[in-house]
Amino acid sequence: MELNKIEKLLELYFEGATSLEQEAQLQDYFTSDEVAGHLAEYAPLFGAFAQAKEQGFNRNIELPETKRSWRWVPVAASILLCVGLFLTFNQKQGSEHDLGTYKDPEVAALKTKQALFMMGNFVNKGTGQLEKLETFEETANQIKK
Amino acid sequence: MNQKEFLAQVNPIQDRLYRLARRLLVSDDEAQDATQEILIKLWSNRKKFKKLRSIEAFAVTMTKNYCYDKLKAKSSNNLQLVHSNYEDQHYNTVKTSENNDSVNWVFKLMKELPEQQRLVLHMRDVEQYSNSEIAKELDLNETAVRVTLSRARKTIREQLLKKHNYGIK
Repeated sequence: MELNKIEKLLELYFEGATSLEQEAQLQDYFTSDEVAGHLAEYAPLFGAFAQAKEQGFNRNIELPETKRSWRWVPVAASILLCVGLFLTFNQKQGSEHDLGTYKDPEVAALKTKQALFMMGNFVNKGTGQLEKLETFEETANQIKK
Repeated sequence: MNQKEFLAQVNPIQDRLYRLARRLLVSDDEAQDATQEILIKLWSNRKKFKKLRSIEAFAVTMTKNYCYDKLKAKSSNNLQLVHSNYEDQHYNTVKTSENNDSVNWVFKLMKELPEQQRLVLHMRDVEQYSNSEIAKELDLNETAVRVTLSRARKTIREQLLKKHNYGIK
């Protein structure tokens, strides 16, 4: 390349006005063996850039193994548990519904009677206990008077 | 993304990251450490890759910030490390040793530049980023990049000429 072109490029270079292609031309020129004597002081500059470009990372890196994340396991487990509980609960309710129906109206009436009697018994048992309370109140009233 | 895919994506940029770290941290060992650290960070951030405009820009920003943090920690520790290991073992020595000395001198001059200038000079003249890429990366406008670049180059030229003419004038 002609010398005056190089000189011109060099001037532009120091003004920060060269393009990347022009800088590549300068680089080529100054790393060749035919650098003109009066430009020799610039050779180390481009030599340094050329040399810097060749430096590289030369270590073998060991990437940490992808750890299997156990973070979601407890969440999944609790969801499963909830679903399980919900299902069993639902099933029980379903079977109770089944038990409550009789197809024969007579049997149904009989059973209802039985059930009401049973309830009546329970209620009577409860009122039996309440009579004691009544005597207690009476005596309490006597004392108050 | 498995390790193989990750390495394939990262391979073309890891040298650049290393050189950037090297320019900022100066020491080779520290730069290797930093690069390793960054690659591992990238690995743990790999799920974000798809959303990124450019993995390289992301990695460069990461490296830059990491190195600044390192430098800050170092200066707050009042620890000053002096490095003189400018030789590069991998460089096939075509140049004469005299030439190599002045090349090392250039590295030394680069090291003495203010951080911003050093970074811009490195990104432009070593990594050949365009000014607009540098502007984006450093959050500057393009004119500022050009001015910084010009200043850095001129400072180095001045020092170079001083040395070159030493004993002559």
